[in-house]
Amino acid sequence: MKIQKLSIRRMPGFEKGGFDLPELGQGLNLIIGPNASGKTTTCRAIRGLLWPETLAKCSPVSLVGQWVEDGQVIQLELEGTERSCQRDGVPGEPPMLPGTHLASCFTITVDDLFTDTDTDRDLAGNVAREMAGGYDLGAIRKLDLLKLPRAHGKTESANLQKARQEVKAIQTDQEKLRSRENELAGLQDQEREAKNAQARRARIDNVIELIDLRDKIAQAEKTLDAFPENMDRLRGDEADSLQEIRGDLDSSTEALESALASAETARRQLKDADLPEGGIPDVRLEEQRSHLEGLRESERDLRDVQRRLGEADGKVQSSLKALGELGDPEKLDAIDVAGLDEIEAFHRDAEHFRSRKSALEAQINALTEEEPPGDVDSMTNGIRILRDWFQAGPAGLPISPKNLLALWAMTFLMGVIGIALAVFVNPWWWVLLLPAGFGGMSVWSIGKPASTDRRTMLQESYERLPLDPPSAWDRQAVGERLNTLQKCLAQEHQRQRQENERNTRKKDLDQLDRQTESLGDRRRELIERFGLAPDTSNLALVVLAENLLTYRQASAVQLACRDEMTQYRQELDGRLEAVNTFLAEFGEEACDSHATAGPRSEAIFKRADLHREAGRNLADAERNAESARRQVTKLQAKKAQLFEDIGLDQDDSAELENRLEKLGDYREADRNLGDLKVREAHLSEKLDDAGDLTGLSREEASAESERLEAMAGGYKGLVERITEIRSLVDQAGRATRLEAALASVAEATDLLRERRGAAELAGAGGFLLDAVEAEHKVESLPQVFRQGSKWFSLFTRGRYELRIDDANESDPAAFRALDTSSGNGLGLDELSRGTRMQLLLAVRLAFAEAAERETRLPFILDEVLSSTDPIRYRAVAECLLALVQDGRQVFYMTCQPGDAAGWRDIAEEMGIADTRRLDLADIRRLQRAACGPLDDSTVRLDATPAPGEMTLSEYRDALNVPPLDPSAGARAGHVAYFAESPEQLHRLVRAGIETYGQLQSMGDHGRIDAYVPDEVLVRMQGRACVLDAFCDAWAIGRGRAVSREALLEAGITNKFIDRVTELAKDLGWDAKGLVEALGDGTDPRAKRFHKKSLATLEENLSESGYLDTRETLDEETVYNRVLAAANDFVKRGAIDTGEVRELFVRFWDICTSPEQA
Amino acid sequence: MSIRILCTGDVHLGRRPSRIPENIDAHALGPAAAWGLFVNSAIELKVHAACLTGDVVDASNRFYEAFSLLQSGVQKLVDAGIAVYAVSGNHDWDVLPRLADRIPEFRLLGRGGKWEQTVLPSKETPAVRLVGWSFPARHFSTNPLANLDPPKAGMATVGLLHCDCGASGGPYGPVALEDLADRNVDAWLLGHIHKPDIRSKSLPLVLYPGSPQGLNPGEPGAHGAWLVTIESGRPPKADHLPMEALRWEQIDVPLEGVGDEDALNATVIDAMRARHDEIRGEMSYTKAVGCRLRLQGRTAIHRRLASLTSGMRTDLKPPFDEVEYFIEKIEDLSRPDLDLEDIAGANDPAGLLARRLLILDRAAPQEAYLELIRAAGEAIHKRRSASAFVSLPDSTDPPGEEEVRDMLVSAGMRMLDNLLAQKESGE
Repeated sequence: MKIQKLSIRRMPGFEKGGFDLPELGQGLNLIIGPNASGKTTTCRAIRGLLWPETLAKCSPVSLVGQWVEDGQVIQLELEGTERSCQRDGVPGEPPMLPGTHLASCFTITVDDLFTDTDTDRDLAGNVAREMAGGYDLGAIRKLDLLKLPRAHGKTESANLQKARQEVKAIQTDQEKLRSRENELAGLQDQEREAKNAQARRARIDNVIELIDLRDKIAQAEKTLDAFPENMDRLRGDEADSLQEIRGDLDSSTEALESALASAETARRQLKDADLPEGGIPDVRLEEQRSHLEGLRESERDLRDVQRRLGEADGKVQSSLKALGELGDPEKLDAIDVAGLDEIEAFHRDAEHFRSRKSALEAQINALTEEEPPGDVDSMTNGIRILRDWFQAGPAGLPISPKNLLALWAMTFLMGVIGIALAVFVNPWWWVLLLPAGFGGMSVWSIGKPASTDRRTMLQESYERLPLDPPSAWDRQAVGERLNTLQKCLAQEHQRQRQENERNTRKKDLDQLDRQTESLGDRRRELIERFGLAPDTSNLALVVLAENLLTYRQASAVQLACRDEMTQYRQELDGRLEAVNTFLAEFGEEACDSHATAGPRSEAIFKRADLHREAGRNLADAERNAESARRQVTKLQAKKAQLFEDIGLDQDDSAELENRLEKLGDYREADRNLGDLKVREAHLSEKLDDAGDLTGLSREEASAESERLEAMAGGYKGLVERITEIRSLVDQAGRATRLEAALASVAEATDLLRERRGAAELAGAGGFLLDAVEAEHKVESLPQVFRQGSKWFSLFTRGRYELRIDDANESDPAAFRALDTSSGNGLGLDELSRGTRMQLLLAVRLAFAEAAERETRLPFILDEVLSSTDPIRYRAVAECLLALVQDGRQVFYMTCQPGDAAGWRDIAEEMGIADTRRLDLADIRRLQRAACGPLDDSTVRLDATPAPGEMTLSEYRDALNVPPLDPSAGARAGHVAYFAESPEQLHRLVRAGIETYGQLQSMGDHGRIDAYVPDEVLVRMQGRACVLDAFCDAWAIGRGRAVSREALLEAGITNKFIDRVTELAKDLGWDAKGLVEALGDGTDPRAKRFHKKSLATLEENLSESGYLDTRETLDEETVYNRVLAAANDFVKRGAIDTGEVRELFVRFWDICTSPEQA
Repeated sequence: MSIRILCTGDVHLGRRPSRIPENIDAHALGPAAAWGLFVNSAIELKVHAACLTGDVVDASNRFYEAFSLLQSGVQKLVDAGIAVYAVSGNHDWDVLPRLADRIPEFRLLGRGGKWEQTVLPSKETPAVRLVGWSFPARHFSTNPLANLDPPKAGMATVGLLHCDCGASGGPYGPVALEDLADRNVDAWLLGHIHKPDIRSKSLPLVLYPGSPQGLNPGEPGAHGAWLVTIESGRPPKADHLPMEALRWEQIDVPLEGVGDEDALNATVIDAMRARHDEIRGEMSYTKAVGCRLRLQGRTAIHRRLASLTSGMRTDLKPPFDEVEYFIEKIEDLSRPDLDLEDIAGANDPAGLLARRLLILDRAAPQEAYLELIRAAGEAIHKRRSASAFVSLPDSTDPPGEEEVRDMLVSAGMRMLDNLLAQKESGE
């Protein structure tokens, strides 16, 4: 369907008058006009005619468009929101068109492509849904099976390294120990030699010592000979002994003299005692002392009995006085003791009766006065009757009269029925009269009133009693009366109990009175018995008894004291006689009492003591004198012996002193000589088997000793070393450290293998999923996507391919551009303005095509290429003109006349003649905007210099081809590395195809043959394969070159990114060098970079392939890998091994050149 | 009368089993324990000689820790009056000579790689001659039997040799089985192979006694020492005496019909118990059994197996007859209960994945199969050679075809299972 005419009568901005576009071309229509000339309005008008909903919010709207489809003229008119359609002048149905949501796919304005619209998201969503096939492959990628942590295996790898280091350390220690153990044999030999040398040196030292000893012995003997004779007889203590003897001699002489004086004194004292030679025997003295003590006691006893007799005499006299007329001792003595007891008993009984009588009288008085007795029986009966009255209750029927009547009726009816049945039915029914009879009796008994009222009867009974009646015969009055009666009855019972008790007390009092009368008889009998006056009181009787008892006791004491006095006086006399006998014997006068006998006896006792002491002293003195005499004699002999023993004359003390002064030196010399001889003998014995050694001179022995000392010097050290080594060996043998460490290595290896297994499984799963996803995408790729991708690739000369991001939880599905050179995917936001426009244009066109049904609609593009560079402008234009060639009507609107010239030029190149140019400025008679001439095409390609006569290499240099990046692979490589001729390279570069990735993409969409023949393309693919294989092998151990972005992704923070990037740049973007420099920290830019951050950076760079710790491959290995990879192309003849070799050498040289390094 | 020789080899003293639960003393269950059992058994059985066929100590720990264990054990045998004969292997080639120097009664035969013979000192008949050859260095790439030609001695002859029997080359004394015949030797006691194996029962007897204990989960089954009996006029007889303290077992667990976690646990325990019942009689000295479970068969819980078995290794340690069982590893070889043919009929991702799994299952069409293996092999190799795994010795080795196939099938099945689960949940 193609539009022929368009009349814009009214549209926003054209309210007062529109314009017409007559005679529109059937192919390309270039509508030129300055800004605000109506280009966009034209675009919206066409869209509005097809999809009126797009102008629903616009006013005023009045449009007319004439279309032609399959020879039929269709006129669409739109007034406001009303659209009418005429087909060949007859109203008809409007054409079948895609949905309104796809309107912007046919009429594309520049705003559509630069505004983030829902349309693009919807389109992307449609594609994603269609491609997914109902499965969420993204969710599969998130399974634990496939999604491994970034640091997967790193910890286990580190643990393995650590365990291996531990093993290595232990093994190194053991190796060291082995080395030392290997030294053991040599050390043991050295130890034996040193030990032997040590033993021989000891013997040599003995020989030298023996020689020294013998010299010393000779010298010592000479020294001894110089001392006086008999020095050996001195003990050294002679002076002290002599001094001691002399001292003892003086002491003994003094003791002799003292003893003689003491003897004389004792003799004088004996004489002064004036006692017989033997003195007074101790027995006599003890007898005298005993007699004196007895005498003193007898005198005291006598005085005591005399005092007691006096007291007894006093008591007798006072008792007699108290007895008065009875005071005749003879009469008193006749009274028996039993009589006195009777008086006592009488008095006790009289007191008892009196007190008891008083108590009884008091009790009788305490009881209340007698009262007249009450009528207990009447009160008891009255209480009982009144209680019964209460229990009897009021009189009345147990059933109401109405109910009683009903019972009677029922009983009667039962009786009548029973009689009737018995008479008329069966005689057995007489039985029914029985219950009727019983019922009647029961009702009679219930209904019969009591013949007498019980309460009335009780009332009558009470009134017959001699008691006061209740004030009324109701419950309250009867209750009060009952209470009164009960209280009266209780008072009567109390009164009766007191009466009984009073009678009992009175009986007891009568009994007591009778006993008191008998007591009077006893009193009279006692008075008669003791002859007392008849009126003698009971108390007087008692006093008499007491006085009589006192008299009789005092009289007995008086008699006993007199007997004692007689006895004591006899003893006193006997003792006085013995005392006086003693006094007389030793010259003292006789005495009559102890007072005089005591001092006289004491004088004799002192004389006896003096005599005894003097005798003892005399004997001691005589004994001491004899002992002192013997001691003096002995000491004198001892002194003489002392001098004789040391060979000196008697009392030659001076010589003794002289010798004693030399004695110390003499003894030292003598001891020294002795010691020397002992040692000499001991050494001689030790050296008995020394043989030749004993014959050595001192000089010879010293020389030999020095030699052996040097040999034996290391013995101790050797022993220590040997012991230490053996100890270490023993410890190592008993340890299990290495065994444990090896087990740790095995375990860590197992764990790392497990991790690797998981990684490999993830690799296998990822591979399968990638393959399935890729195949599915190809298989199920919607036509619309394929077409869009193709156009996008063509628009960008193969630089980009279309991709789509599946929707996820946070983001809807979205289109992305895959950079065929770097392999990176870029979102719409990350694309340049031009590339974004190209992507969205490609997608919309593809959707528009896909959405068309039978009717093919025009494409209207409003300045959509305004931001496009000439190469891509041409690419887009070529694609759209291809559609024109295919019969589609295309409108392109621009304000740049140069754009229109460009379209025209390309159309001419493509042989398209049906090109219509409309100038809105002319149509609307507007002032033409300043713009370039129409001939100045803006899409004219920059003149890429032609190679002319240059070789491929020279032309490559002339094009300033960027160096090969071995980490980026073939797709990023410039086509110059793959082209076979300068012309071919020129053709590609001129078309904007600069990388192998672009070439490959163009080839995939079948549009490369215009630039590269198929056979050449295959050869270029072979070279690319060689380069890819080379890059893969080269990357091993080198990793990829880092970038600022890579460093950011690897975790470098904004704080460090600038200086770390600068450092990385200086290091040639080498990740390994960078990590080392950051770890080294010497570079100022690496300062304050934490180790933890470095570890994270290293891990992330390793994970993303920037850091590769493997060994790099040598040249031959790399070549072999390249050759193996290119094998398929070699087999197909696309490349030969020579060229493979040549390419390899070239790549190798490039990568190893100093510039590259 | 007969001569009885207790024989073992490849003890690898100095090693310790790894992946043992923390509650088990790994050292007490390691080769040291097996060596102790060997020594004690020799003394209890009052054998005439104990023979060691090399690699008694592990090279990585040969100088002190292992040597000390070996020395004390040999000394104990010697003190008990048991003659000890040995040949050194590639691990202990420089260790056994040291021991021989220290303990004169310990006879190292063939020291320095020179065949040596001796006669077993016994008053009983028959007399037995021993011939032996020891590794002179860590590696020995030629056939050590080349220089052996012992004359007939009129008595039984027992050969001790550490060699790689059946290998056509290699650094561990390659020997063909045929080479062992016609050497005037009645019984060969060999070392180097850890799995107990009688290579030939008829004259001559060719016996690999194997390690007295499996050194790792890759050496499952019964291990122990061998009692070789030599009687006049009869061929030598070899009896296996299981005596390992720790045993490894690989147990297949069929998951058909297992529908939930409880059933899974019960099935696993049943499988372990069944294995225990099988091997109960061989475990006189066994204190622990490490199990590697291989989940097999089609199961409806395939998708949940990873989570269901995650805690099994630490939680499931059933004791049977006082032998402690623990799970060393669980290998999931099971498959989801799916009809690949049916699924492959669709053009959606599940169908495409199922088609690839069918190709892997059938190894056909061959070209597609090989391309799948090749391309996946590269992807796997890339993972294998990742920097995290370079410390593993085989990190640069490309994976084998079978390995790639197994990984593809395992990963593919799990992905397919999850893909279909998406549909199920969507429906």
